[in-house]
Amino acid sequence: MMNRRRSRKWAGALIFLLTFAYVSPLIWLLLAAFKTRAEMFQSPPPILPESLNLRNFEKVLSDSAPYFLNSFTAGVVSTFLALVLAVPAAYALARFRLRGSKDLELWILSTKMMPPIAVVIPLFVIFQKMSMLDTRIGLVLLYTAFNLPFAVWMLTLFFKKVPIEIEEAAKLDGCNLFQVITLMVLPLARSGLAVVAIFSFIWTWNDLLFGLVLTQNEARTLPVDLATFASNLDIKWELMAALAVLQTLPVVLFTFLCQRYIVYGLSFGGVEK
Amino acid sequence: MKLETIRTDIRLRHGKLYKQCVGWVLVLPTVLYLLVWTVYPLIYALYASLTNMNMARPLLTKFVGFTNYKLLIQDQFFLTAVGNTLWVTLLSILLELIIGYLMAKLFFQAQGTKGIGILRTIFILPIMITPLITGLLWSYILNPTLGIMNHLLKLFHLPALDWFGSSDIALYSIVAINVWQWAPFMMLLILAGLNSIPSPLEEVAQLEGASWWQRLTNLEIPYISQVVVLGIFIRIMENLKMFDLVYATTNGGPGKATEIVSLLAYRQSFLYYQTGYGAAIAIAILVLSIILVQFLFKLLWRREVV
Repeated sequence: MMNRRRSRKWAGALIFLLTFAYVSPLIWLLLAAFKTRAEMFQSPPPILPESLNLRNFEKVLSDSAPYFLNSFTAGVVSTFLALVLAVPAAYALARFRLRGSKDLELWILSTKMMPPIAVVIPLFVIFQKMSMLDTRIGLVLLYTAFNLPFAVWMLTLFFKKVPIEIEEAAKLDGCNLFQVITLMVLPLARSGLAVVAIFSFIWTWNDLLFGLVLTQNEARTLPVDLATFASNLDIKWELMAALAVLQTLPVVLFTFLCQRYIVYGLSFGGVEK
Repeated sequence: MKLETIRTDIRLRHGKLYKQCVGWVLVLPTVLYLLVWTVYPLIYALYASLTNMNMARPLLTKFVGFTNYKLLIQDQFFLTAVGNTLWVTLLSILLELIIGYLMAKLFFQAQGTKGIGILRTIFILPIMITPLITGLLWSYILNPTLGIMNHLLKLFHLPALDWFGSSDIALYSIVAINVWQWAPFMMLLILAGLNSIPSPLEEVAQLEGASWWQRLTNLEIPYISQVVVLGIFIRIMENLKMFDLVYATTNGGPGKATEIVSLLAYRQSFLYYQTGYGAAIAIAILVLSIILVQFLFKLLWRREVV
């Protein structure tokens, strides 16, 4: 017993060191966001910035504010639309024994496995013909399609867990199908809704490829704006760091608040919680 | 009596049919939406891959049969890209498994210590960050002039390396960054697997003084294999799609040292305007993924993971 407690303590200390070493690149990025251009080019590089000045943040916020807004809107709207489509579909897959529903479920999931590049090349041509290039609406509709498979899959798993007796009781009380779903099933499956909402939002927020191909200025998303740093010959590293920190902040926040959903979502519900 | 039975029978059957109808009405919007946004573009890509479509002169599009595919299998860039993609996938997953397993053992060992939950969340932060930023962050760290990494190497009297500039190591730099980002994911899955081992079995292994190898093969692997197979599956799919990381760091260079399939298709389509050829590459990636998905789905199906 004594032995085990001691080994646990050692493991704890080791984990503390290793974890900080592991995420030190992220800390380095955070520190860079506060450094001046001169500090960035000092050799050897100073570990801490001279002062905690927010000039880099002010600069990137004034330059990139519209792209923040675009990414945020795209994330929220496409997540909402995906849920609106997915809730009835997932309910049907969980409750009605549709002929071929297992195949249908797998087909829906398989569209999530598809490499985005295979879709984005034809979509560019289609968008061009329909003059939907560089529009927010086009981007939102596309993100909805890409969030949809995960939403259906996840919600089906959660709806199956809702005890059917509750629904039957509600039906006896005179609830119609819409009321059963919105009043009984959704509140009971709210963790599922949370998992779907978090991941849909983060995937949309983090997406580069679709934005890169389908937007220019008007609908440009935050990652596309960030990517311009990569193609620049004279990279403004301190500004890149500031913008990257701002982009990452909501993601980090989500991770801390919702850590119990993360494994579940990342493994498509394959790891039971 | 008999009439009664027939009536219930009719009502039941009516109920079943009615249920089927309602079910399909609920599913239909999703199915149609996915058909429009994923299947239709794919069919269009298939059509485009059989033409000489060029974005700079879209009106001159002509049907050219399998010319693009014939060019594809002779294209050194494409073959290198396929090779690199598979090599990065294999190597990354292998390293992620090793690091993930070791970290999972540590976290498992330390469970119950105060603050371990927070440390675990900090450890998994890399997973949630967009690979674009991961790429930018590491190109800052590995930058030959202002990067910290070469300064650190110098501190330990090790030679500085040209991480992205040398064609011998650029691909391995990509692998390392990829592993850094995703090993925590394997750690989480393996930790969940370790936690599913019943504690009496743990104690027996302890009492019998099993060596670490015996524990691994006889006790742990049976319990973690399911989640690990699932994790490998997800990681293969993600690696085949890889784009952001290479776009942000080497953009396929130097030469074609870090060329990967998605980036090649992107470049052909949107920088060289060879839409038809780009579409052919995209279709090839899709076929590759489908083959792997089918294979892995069957593997998983047997284990009833999905």
